[in-house]
Amino acid sequence: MRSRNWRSRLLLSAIAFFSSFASFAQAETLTIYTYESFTAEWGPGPKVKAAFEKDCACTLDFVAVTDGVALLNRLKLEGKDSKADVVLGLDTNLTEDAKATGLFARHGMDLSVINVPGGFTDDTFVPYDFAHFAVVYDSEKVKTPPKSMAELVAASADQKIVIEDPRTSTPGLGLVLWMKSIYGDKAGEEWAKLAPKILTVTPGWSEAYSLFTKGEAEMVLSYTTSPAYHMIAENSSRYQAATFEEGHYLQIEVAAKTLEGRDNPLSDKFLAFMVSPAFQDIIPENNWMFPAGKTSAPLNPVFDKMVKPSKTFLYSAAEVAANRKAWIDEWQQALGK
Amino acid sequence: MATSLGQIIRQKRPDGTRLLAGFLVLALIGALAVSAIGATLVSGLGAGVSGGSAGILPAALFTLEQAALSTALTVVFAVPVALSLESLPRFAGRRGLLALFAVPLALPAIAVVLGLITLYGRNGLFADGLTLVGLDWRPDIYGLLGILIAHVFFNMPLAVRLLLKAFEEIPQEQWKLAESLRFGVAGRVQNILWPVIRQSLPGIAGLVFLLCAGSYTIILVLGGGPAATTLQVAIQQALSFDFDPAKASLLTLAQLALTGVVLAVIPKGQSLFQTGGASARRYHQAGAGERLVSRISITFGALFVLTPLVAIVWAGVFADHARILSSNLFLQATVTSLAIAGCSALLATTSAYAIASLRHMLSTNGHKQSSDTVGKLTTSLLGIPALLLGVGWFVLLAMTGRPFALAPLMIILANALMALPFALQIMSASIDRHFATDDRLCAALGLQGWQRFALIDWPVLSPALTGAFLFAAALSLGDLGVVTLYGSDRIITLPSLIYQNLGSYRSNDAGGLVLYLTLLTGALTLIGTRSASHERH
Amino acid sequence: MNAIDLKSAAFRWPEMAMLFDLQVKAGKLLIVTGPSGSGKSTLLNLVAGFETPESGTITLDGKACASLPPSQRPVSMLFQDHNLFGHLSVEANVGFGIGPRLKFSASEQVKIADAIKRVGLSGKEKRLPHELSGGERQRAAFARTLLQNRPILLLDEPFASLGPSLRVEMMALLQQLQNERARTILAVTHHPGEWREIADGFVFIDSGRIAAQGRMDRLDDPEVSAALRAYLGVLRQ
Repeated sequence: MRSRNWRSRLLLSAIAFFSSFASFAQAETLTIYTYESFTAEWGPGPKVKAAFEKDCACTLDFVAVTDGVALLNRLKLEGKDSKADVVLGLDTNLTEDAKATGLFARHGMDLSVINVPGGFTDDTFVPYDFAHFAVVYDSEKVKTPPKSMAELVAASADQKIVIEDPRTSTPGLGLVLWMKSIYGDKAGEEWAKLAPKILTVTPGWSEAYSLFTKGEAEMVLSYTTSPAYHMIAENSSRYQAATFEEGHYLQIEVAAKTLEGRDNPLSDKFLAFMVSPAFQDIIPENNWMFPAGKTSAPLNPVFDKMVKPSKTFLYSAAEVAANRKAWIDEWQQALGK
Repeated sequence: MATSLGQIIRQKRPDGTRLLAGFLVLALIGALAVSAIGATLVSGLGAGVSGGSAGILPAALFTLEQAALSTALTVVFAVPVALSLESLPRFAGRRGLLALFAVPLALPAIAVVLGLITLYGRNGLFADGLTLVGLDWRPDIYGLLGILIAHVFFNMPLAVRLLLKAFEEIPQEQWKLAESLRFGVAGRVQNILWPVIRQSLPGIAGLVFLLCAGSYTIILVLGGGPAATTLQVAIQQALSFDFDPAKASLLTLAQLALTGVVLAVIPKGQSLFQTGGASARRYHQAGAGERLVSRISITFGALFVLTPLVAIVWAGVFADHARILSSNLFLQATVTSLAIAGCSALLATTSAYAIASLRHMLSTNGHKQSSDTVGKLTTSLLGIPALLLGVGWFVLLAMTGRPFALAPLMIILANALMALPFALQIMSASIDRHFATDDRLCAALGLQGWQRFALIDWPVLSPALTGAFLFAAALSLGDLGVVTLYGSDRIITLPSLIYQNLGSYRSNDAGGLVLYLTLLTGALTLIGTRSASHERH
Repeated sequence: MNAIDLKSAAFRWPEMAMLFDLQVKAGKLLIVTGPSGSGKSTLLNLVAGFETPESGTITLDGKACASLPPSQRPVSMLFQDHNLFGHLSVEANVGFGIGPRLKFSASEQVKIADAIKRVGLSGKEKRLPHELSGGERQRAAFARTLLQNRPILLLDEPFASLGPSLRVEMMALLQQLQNERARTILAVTHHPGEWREIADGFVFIDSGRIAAQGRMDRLDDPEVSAALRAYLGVLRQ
């Protein structure tokens, strides 16, 4: 029995591979472009798909790329030929660029159910989850975690932090914007002071977090929600996020329908579903972010223990788009020596 | 002596087909590469270049610096290890060790990085060992040092294998003379081995340099910061956040120019690929001192290469293997990876066969120079990042309106092109030797076409071709490459599954997957090198 | 006195067991002939030390040599090909006959020049092997064996890749050198007839044994060995 099962799985996999791109144009199909960790077996994707398909008698089709940045690039590459009805997984740093492609349609929705720190209004993009960036530390090694960015910058170089590269990753850019929010014109100098404490700069969050959990560094740039994963999935409170007095920079993840998707009635239906409890319930313990809308039940109490920033930083998408290059250059200058 | 190529084809000589096939494959590969770069450039120019050329020069300089240092260090370590292995031609485990030396090159960079960190990291086994003996010193491998360690780990075993292969070409008489003339170890090294090293080292160093110049994950993770920015990093940046295809293709052209310069300075007539001879027996008895030095040097080399491999295994042993193995996703990713690897390896092997035949024909018909050029053109594929190929073809396919319909094919093609130079390297010597001995006989007997391949070529060449196929498959298996660009939830490979796990806090499972991927690539390379060395001649 | 003395020297390839008994008097030139794969080269390798006998004794120049490495035997050797190191000049290659080094004293340099002169290569001292003809390369190798100054010389088909007139020329040189100072020589060849003038005798090897031996004129003796006659292609009358 076991071997037959194995063989049929093998066969199914083979069929799945060779027919990957055979059929697209089925009626009653909604195509959503998103990033890989969303559609992963253990991510929110499969549950979202099941919940949505239950009500609509339709097929929800995910096409996943590496991350939010790759998502936008994929759209730029495809242009008007894109098959996407809905794009899910951009963040607020990317929305200006995304709008400039002219590929997105207005949502026309009432966003009053949305509750993100600092509020959010946009005629095109709809938030579905958020979290603040935070320095996550190993409580077994860091007995007195920094209480502010200023303390982190001024700390001795004994304890190291891994950060991500702003040229290739969203959290990396997040930290650049965070530093800019706190220090403004002095950001470059502060970066230079932080430099000796930076163990290394990785291309993405995955590599940084691996180095951190391998014990290579005492701290890592991640999210306020990271400890929730370890507490719930691993039952460990070893990894904690540090609260910074100055405040934390916010990441909001958004979705939007495309011009192509405007003609598909399922697009609007999905966006409405996305802000409803049916979708929002899935987010916290699958995407490890805070839900942007109402959930049907209170969150796991663990989420109450997460850092609650006294102040939220967020540049407008237009400011980010206008200054990103200059600010990254400043970062590179400060660390490149 | 030169026979005009047109003449060969016009006279309908049986080898004319092979000549045409070789040129056709070469032209196709050229078209694939040029169209990708061209399309990226044109599409980018249409959208306007935003980045300009800022940062290209420092990136190019650092690329040169780290690649030159890595190459120098690789050579400095490889030569003594190769000499020592040459000096001790028979000891238990020598063959196994050399087979394992083929593994690092095929491993995915992320696996190697994690392995090296498990070993030499601040919290690595090395640091633990020091703590045990009461030392509180922690190695710092983040920076140039880490990059160099990783590159030497990748390339030193490759250089050792290539040097030993070159030593095999030394005729038996010279070894007998060395004894008869009472050469000691110094005389043997100076008069027999050193001339071979001097002749083959430029080619080997060139190959290593190109591999180091194209490295990406290692530079970023171990580089320590933006001071370590290479052309390859700049290309990735241009293709990700900046999304500036024109800049990416300009950077690629800069990288190709670098590649071209490196290939051009490799002395003429001493191509990367050597014509082989039969391996000769050795007659000398190494003295006690020589044996001791050799043993130390081999032990050092073996530890340096094997410990990271063990560390990779170690890092993966504690994953939840029952969960990984029973997941559908793992099975699907394995099947997909193997299917892609099989197809691209087949493509790489057949193309390499056509090109190797072409090179042999060119050099035997008096066009030695062209033969070298063909080899170098193929090697220059190492200068093109796979992601750029992906973007370029994507732009072209977009004109058909359904760019993703051909995604699996694109992934296979990109992987095949990346593996081609290695496949060629593995089979070249055997093909030259076989054609040199059997070509005229076949022509005289009127054996040609498929019949000839099945009756004559395949039986002789199957070990080399299988070896090339398996190694190409291993390379493709470990490559994340363009899958990320074309990816959807329906194409999941083992490397992309590893990143998926790493991207969702599941580094334990990722470690387990890295272990399986390492075992798989390792098994393929081991079988491959065994096969390639079992030549029936 | 026997310069070469093999007593029941046994050696085994997977496909053939060999056993040699051979005595060669000092200063004699013997040719070794026989079908391909009969064991000619193995015999030479046993004498030179590149193979070690399973049993039996090998005495060279009065010294028990069976278990000595090649470098400690009183033997120099010449092959069909690859006798010179390609990256070194004629001078340097010949100099190896004195010792494995590249620097020589004034008197040693005179010896080297003299050896080169004796093989007729004066004026070509600085050339590299690939700048010489095939015959010249073998002459240079000869010069080196002169300086090696060992009582036994083994020749493994050293003229086989040369043309007929060159072969004759090389024989003449060998004979001339032999007249100046006789060494004990074993020369493997497939063309025993060419050696009639200068060889003292022949050894015929068949299936790993010495099947016949004698003076050169005995090559034609119908009584010697049927196998030898078959090998030489002499028709039975």
